[in-house]
Amino acid sequence: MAKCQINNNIRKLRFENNEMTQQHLADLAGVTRQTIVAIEKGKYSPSLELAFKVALAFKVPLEEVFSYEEQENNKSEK
Amino acid sequence: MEYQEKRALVNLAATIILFAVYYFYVYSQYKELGVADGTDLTFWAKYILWLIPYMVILKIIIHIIMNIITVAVTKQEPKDFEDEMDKLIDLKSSRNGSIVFMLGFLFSMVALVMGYSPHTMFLIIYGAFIISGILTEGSMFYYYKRGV
Repeated sequence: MAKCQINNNIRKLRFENNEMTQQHLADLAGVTRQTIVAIEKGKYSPSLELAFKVALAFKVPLEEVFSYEEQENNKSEK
Repeated sequence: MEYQEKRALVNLAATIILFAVYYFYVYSQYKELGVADGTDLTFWAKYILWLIPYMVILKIIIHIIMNIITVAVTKQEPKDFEDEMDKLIDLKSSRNGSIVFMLGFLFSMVALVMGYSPHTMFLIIYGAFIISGILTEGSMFYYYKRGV
């Protein structure tokens, strides 16, 4: 059974954008700082709308911020 | 620890303490009044109905005090809006608490069918209130800490 995982480059993009703070990004995206922290750590998958807002904040396409990875469950391979 | 995690912990502690205080008050009234079996239903119904405004008002007061302390310590006003993650966590936590309360309610009905008194039924319902409240707040803390 495949396990879905959404990865992101938010931390890297923040540093590349004049070391943008999490709070500043949260203000631009209209969410709390804790939501940005949770997304960066992979603890929360944002909605499509929020994902677009984050990409807009960095002025880059969505696929440069988020990527989708399919991981095979180890048990199914054995 | 983030503001939402602290708020969830404070709510959890407040839920446990407020329920405990209220239970001991109600139990002392029960013993004092020497409620006979026939008036059990009225007595318990009254105190379960009073539980709702008691919890709502005291939780609002605790929330206000917590905001005042947060502003005093951090010199920043805590953001008082719910974004999508807050709403999802709220939804999942409420779901968990509701499931437990429903199970408790069903269990109280089973107790009645098995021949236990209405007194026992209300105690089980009250216990279900407590456990569902604790589980709701505990779930919020868990989801904020571990992700959702």
